Amino acid sequence: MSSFKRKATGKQVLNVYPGTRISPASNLSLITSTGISSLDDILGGGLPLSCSLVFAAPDIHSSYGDLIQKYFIAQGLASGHRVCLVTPNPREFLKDLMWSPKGSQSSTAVGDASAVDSDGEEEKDGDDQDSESKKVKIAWRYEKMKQFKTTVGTSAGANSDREVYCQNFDLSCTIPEEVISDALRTDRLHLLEVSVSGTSGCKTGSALTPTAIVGEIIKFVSSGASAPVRICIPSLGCSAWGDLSAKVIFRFLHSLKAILRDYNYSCASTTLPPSLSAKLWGGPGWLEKVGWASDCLLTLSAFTANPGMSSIFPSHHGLLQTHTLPAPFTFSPPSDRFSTLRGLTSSGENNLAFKCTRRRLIFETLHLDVEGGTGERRTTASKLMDDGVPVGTQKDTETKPKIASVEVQMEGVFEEKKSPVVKKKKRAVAFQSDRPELYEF
Amino acid sequence: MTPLLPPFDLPEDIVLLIVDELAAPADFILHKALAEHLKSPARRGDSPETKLSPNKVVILSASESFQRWKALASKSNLQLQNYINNGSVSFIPVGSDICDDDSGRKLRDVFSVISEKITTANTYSRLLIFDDISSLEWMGIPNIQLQQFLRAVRAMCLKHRVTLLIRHHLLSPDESEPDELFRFLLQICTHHLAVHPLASGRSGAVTGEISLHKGFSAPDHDNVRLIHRSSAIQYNLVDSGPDFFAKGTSGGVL
Repeated sequence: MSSFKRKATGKQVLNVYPGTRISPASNLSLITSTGISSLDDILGGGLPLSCSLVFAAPDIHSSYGDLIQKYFIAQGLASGHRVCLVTPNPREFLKDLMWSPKGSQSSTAVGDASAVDSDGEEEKDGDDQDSESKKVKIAWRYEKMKQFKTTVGTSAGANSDREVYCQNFDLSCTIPEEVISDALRTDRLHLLEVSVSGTSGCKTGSALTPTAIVGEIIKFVSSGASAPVRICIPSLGCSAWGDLSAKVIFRFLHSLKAILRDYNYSCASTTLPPSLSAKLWGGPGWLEKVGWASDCLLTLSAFTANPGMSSIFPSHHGLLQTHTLPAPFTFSPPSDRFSTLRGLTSSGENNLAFKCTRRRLIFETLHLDVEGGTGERRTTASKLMDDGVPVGTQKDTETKPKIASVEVQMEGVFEEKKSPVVKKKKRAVAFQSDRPELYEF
Repeated sequence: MTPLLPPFDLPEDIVLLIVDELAAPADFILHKALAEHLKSPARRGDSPETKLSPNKVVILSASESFQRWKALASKSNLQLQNYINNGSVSFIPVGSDICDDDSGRKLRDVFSVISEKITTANTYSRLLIFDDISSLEWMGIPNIQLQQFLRAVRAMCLKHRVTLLIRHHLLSPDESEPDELFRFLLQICTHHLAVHPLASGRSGAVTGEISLHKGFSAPDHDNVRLIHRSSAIQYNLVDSGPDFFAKGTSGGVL
């Protein structure tokens, strides 16, 4: 018997829908975009159909979890997918959905800019830096090296279907009203309003329990396989869902996963509200339980409640933690092999973070600055450095008895205090060619 | 008799508890056991001496779909659908509706289905794979019912000489005490295979490590070579399955 065996059959049996691709890891599964190219990269090219994606967003002061869900819906509408939105106020949620800037949808020229370059604010900075970098003389051995990048661009290749796969959404543009009304009219967008009382214009007219919601989702998903189905559940288990226990939420996620497996042209994205995203909300190991009940669990830990972290990482808005990643037809997640940002092919896993600029949300690798992570001094300067007087010479002043004093000022009369402006001496470093062993400071 | 699950070389007719964590799922152990059981020539029932039907595997799946089992079996050159058709493999899905009834009637129904599949199969070697006991607990099935169910399944397996594999997920093992179900499983198992992620985080060359311990129900005269956590076997998951190697000898190290 020959020791050679054919690795792949080469037969393409899958029906590739618009806005989907065959997974690079397995020709049995299709992947679709989440609307954020850098998040697609972390997932290994995109979210596989038949998989569920869950975000835990423990920060109470921000709504990055909602923002990601909006990208997910916008991408679905742009790709012509069927979308089911399950939330307390679906109309309100859809109001400020992001959209592509006018003209970019038809033209293919927009996408070839990198993620950072296409951002308005950074474009200017980028130009300055470009012109500056041209002046810098780089050592010949490093000249041919690729420029260091912290994220991946929207252009994964020169494919013509690139624009369809992942749209270039702009947060400063909102979705035209006619797109939503058209999607609602053609039943490509289905709204399931979750409410405890069922009085606020609920479509079904009564309160929806998690079991009833599962039934509604099955009804929508099974009504047609003409296009991929996206199920979007922002803030699962928030107050509008009623008082749900950990077991009920686990069962809901487990059922959702089973539905997606049965109807393999559908996928789901869910966000847990801050209260449910706490590690110990449903007992020890709560988030791990959620991870087992879904295919992919990511935590978005924003810095808004932690000024210390924002000062350490001023250019980021939060950290991204990957608990588990989708692997529908493989032993290990395709992301391990194909993700540039995670970087597992070369070494250990990279730390990941996200930032939200005026125009887009970007996931990127987290690095300390070149100087060691800080742009300014964080320890207090010594006394000697403060006023130029050695510490030992202040002894006699300290021995004097201290008397409490109160400063009294007349109302309306303010003395302008002129703080002495001390100009820091700029530190100059120079290399002297005639004395190569010495640097002049 | 061919040993079960090389390189661990376990004997047959045991109750093996497999524990894993979210960062290092032990799916590959279950799939490896399935593939080896169906493919092993020593267990081939169609040999003229034995005159028995092919080997029998019953899969009780609480967390994965048949499509995934089929796709992963195809990586070991197994067409699972053919085995289903000829009755060598029985797939029993357990959905979240199992906990709709508080009396445990549905669990009893599941037990009777398993019992029927196992006892009616006149085969040389039989294997029962239960891929996820933890999910049933987290869905809300009372612990006492689960323990009764497990005790009944174990008794049936011992009676009919069936190898039983049970997978249990550990939750933050460093932070919390072992839960009640895990303690019960340790009592009923004969061997205990633990799959852990690397303590230093994910790596491109090493996925995790496996240690093998004795369970409380292990027989006294047991020749299984146990693997302590400090000298655990490491593995790297590739597309076709796991690559095992001794600690510190992975491709990325040497």
